[in-house]
Amino acid sequence: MKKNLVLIGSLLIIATLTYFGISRRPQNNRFKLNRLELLPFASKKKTLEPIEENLAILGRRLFFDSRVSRSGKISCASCHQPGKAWTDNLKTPIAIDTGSRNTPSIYNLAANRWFFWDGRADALWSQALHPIENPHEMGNHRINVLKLVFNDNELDSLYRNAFDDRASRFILDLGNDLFLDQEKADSLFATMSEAQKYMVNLSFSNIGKAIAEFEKSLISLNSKFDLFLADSKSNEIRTTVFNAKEIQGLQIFLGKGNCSLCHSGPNLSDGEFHYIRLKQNPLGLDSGRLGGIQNLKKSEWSSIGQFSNQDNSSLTKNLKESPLTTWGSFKTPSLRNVSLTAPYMHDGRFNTLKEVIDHYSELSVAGPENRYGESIIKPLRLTEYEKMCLISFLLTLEDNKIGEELDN
Amino acid sequence: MKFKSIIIFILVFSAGCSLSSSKKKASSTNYNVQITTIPKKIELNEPFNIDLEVSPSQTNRKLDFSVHVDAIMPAHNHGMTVIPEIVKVDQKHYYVKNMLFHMKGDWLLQVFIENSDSTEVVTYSFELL
Repeated sequence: MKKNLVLIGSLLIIATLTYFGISRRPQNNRFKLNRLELLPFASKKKTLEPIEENLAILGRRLFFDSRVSRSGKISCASCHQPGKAWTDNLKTPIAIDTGSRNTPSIYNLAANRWFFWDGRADALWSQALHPIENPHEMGNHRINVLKLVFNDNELDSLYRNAFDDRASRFILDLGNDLFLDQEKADSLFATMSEAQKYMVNLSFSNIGKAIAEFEKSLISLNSKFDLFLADSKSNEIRTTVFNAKEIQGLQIFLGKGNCSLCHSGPNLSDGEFHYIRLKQNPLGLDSGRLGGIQNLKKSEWSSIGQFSNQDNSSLTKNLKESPLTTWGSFKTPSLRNVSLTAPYMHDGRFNTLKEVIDHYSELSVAGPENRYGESIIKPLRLTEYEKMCLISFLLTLEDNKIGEELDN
Repeated sequence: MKFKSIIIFILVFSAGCSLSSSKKKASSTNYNVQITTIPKKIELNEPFNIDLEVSPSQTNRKLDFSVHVDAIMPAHNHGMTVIPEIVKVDQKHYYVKNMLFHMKGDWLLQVFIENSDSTEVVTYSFELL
């Protein structure tokens, strides 16, 4: 009878361990290494495609060129500033007009599937084109951008090195004006034949592909956390890499805080969209992912379109558009360099990491629960000490080589 | 006898929770369903496909049916972000494209089989770590 009880007890323990997915690796009382190994970036690193140099050189030149905007004063770098982890540290950006959503960092974009807070682009090159023609951002017209590139000796030479198409140069013969206002540019484009429109669009999509290629080269993988991961992969945790508070913060990140549910993967983001109970201003409601899906499906620059060079189309075509599950949800931002990218959230409503953590901890001024959609956000009830530890961990995600990528 | 039952219960419980095979079988009242995930291991946020086989049980005469596939995360109160595409290969084989589990946790894959009288559901559980 006693033997039977021991056997039952042992089997119950095995069953419980199996159920909770606990591995047989040695456990460390202070730090659950097996939980960390479950994170995708610890076990699997995405292999990034090699950068096409010719495109990246042109893209870099265009990224910093303010002549790409209607006013001649705004470049991509106006909002994505290298010294600020490629953000502007503003609540919402100031370009031609004031934007309504916070500027995200553009580090490690190559691994993303959706772009912008609402995912209205499904390819990096497509994302790069949106701000150029957005009236609130750079407010230009594709005809003006091509005229700029083909009339500038250096840009033209770089374009020729990067792309074979020459057909769209016919626009140089259409009038002497280097810059057309929106109305004239629209009207000129409308009078073009379908073949001419195609050529203009092809060249403009190439502009996006060049900028995208430059952006792909912006990689951030030199944080204290990366060093820690490299150590923990070999099962040799050097306590000198993380101090006690940082380790406790990581434990909260993986455990009580459950931050890694969405902040997972190499970028500490699942790249998907979630409703995190941010109270919306009734006078300026933001539909978030719902509007993003609708805009993506009708975008001429999506992966479904004829200028796409990557296949994301199957997912894009079949995205669910249910308002109940997508309204008011926004893309999980990367946490890399999060200490440098304040203010936070899609609308920049929180100035500090403490304010962000307070939201998740208390939900004191939160929006309503979505009874018909995602219900993952519950008050975490973290103590002040736990919040401090979590912030300590988040600070380890700061790259110590910020800005050095431009030296290469 | 009681002791044996407990042992069997525990073994079944453990096996059920640690299954990671790509091939799984289950049945509803009138249909037997087998799924094979492609690739074998489902990765977080990576699209995967399913080879689906639906066979009417021996006593079932409702041979005219349609199949629909979806997946949900009951604990989060949401499903997938994409609609799976189903291609009918032959009378009982289907190929399901565009499956995507975008969060880690417990997923329930549901196969709905609809005939002229009713809709039957066969579910499979997956734990994505």
